[in-house]
Amino acid sequence: MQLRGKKFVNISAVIGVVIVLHYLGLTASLENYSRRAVSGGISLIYRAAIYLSRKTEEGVFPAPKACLPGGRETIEYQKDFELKKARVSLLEEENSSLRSSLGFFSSSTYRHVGADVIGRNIDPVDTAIIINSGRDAGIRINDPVVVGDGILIGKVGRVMETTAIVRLIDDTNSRVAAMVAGMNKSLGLVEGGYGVSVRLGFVPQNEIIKPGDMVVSSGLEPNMPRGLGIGIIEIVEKKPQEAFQQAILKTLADLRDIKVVSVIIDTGR
Amino acid sequence: MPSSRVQLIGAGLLAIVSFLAVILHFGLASVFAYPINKINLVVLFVIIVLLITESGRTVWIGFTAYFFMELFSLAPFGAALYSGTISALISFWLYKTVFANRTILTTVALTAIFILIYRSQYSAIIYAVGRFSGDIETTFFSQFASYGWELAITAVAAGLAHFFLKLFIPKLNTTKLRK
Repeated sequence: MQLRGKKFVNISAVIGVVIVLHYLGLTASLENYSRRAVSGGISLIYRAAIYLSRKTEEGVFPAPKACLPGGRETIEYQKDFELKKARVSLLEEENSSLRSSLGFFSSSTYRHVGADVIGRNIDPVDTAIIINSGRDAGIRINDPVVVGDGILIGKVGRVMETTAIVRLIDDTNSRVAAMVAGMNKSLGLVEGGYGVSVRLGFVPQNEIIKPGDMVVSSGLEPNMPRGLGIGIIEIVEKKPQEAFQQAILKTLADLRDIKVVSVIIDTGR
Repeated sequence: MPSSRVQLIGAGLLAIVSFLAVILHFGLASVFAYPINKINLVVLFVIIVLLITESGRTVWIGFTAYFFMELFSLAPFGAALYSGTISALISFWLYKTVFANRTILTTVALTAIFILIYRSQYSAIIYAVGRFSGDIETTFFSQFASYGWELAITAVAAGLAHFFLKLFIPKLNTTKLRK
């Protein structure tokens, strides 16, 4: 028992030393190397996962048919063709997303940084994505992250030198001040739920909201521009005995399938 | 080969396998749908390594894996590292003294206990840090539903992993532990 107590103390001491060294910044280079190595691996798996799920959805891997005259070579050629077609389709989609972003940013005064998504973290505590730009590119904590034509997908939760972690809007700890598009006042808070839903809460009972209304950022927070698209109201939950009503939103972006993002680093305000 | 060199190679291998486990944990999160994506592959990996090696090195594997996990976490540095390593240590002791066998039921129970200890400590640390910094998340306790999914899915996956690994690793067929 005494030996166990000693082991427990020893291991706790080692952990304590590592934590202290981290906060003193003495493990920074080791952490950066490790982060780069892990990021590379995660990025590969993330890309492969998205690629495979697309191909499965598009039926790119059809069941092999019985060999026709010409046989194996034809099948191999067909497989190769289908793979290339899927790759082109992915590139087309990425190109279209980048064009919408370009359109959005060329018509605004925001300064932004583009980044690739290299991984995803679905811890019970965090629903986040990992991107390959960080402090070196001017990204700071709480900078808004958008895709396509100004669709808000989250805020930067942690920044490292060359990578950053983005807390998605469906994360339980995510909060964004929001309003219904066209309104002139802030309406409530968009909150995430376990990485599976997004709702608009804290909406006063006297406000009229209905399914189909578009919810956008109200710009009340620092660094957050007004009018970034968040989602469309699907269901309104209104109970007379409660002070606030809430609504379930359908997000404008598919949060499970994000490959390229833009981080707004300066709103020009 | 000198024992110091063997130890060094062992430590290198240990870091590599932990590294691969963390990559799989993060990478595969995007493959599965909710709630299967709540599976904790690092815990599953630590438990399987414990069953195969029966060695205290498992604790250091846990330490290395949770160090890598910390690099991509939004929680304060140290929360996952401390909780994960101490949970691995307690699981190792429980395995050697309380369970003292290598059945599938032990694997499932040990995985569930690991996650229970890990999440209890992790939540306590986050809560304490939140109180200290005055930034307490109001929905903090609502995450227990998510923890429940993590526990259930990882425990079942560990049981299945044990069942299938038995076919390839004869050692897992014997229920008695090494003295």
